[in-house]
Amino acid sequence: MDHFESLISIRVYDIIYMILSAFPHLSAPELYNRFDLETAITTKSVDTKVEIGGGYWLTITEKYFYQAHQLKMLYNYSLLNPDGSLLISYDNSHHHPGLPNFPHHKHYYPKRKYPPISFSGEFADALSDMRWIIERANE
Amino acid sequence: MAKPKTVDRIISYEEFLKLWKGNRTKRPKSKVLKELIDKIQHYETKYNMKSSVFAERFKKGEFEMDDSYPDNELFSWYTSYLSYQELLSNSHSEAGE
Repeated sequence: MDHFESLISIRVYDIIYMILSAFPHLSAPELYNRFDLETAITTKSVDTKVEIGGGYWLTITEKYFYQAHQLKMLYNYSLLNPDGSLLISYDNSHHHPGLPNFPHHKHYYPKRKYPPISFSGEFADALSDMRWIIERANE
Repeated sequence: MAKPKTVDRIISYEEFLKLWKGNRTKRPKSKVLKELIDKIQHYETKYNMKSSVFAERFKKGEFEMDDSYPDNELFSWYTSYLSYQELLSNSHSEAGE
């Protein structure tokens, strides 16, 4: 495994760790099986979805680049309603240069109703947000 | 065929690597490439657009505030297309060596 591949494997491990920490009711074996490290290393990306309870789905897409010996990425994390419609998503596409902490931002849906909002860029923060949204929805 | 090893808890990174190496399937690049092509073609059909055209429009942010294009799908399509191009380029380089 070269340095880039090692960084990808650490990232995949971290993703699983963060999901299991945010949603401890999820099955660890299923999650470890869902993230195929082989494909992640071959494609330099992760693109998968996980049911996080109550019919809500989390989609995780990360595309990795190796720059100056560091792992850089393009990402999108989305929370989907049980009917498949989008509730909230987070990404770092360079589309909203006016927002603080550019390029990281999040969208609520429908987008025509809600302008994009700044986001930290941390996957753990997105998961924490999502958990809060689901808990409120189930109250 | 041997049953893949599983775990029932959060494991350490070392255990994670060990588990992966133990269950490693060593899928050929051609199979991974085929899966990427299938995914790309699915989106091309769904949105009636060539990936090359889509990628340029996506980079410009043309779909950014359009609710008829779900962000998660656009990202999956865009990154799959990037991975497809990289793998194809690597295959050509390897064939030329």
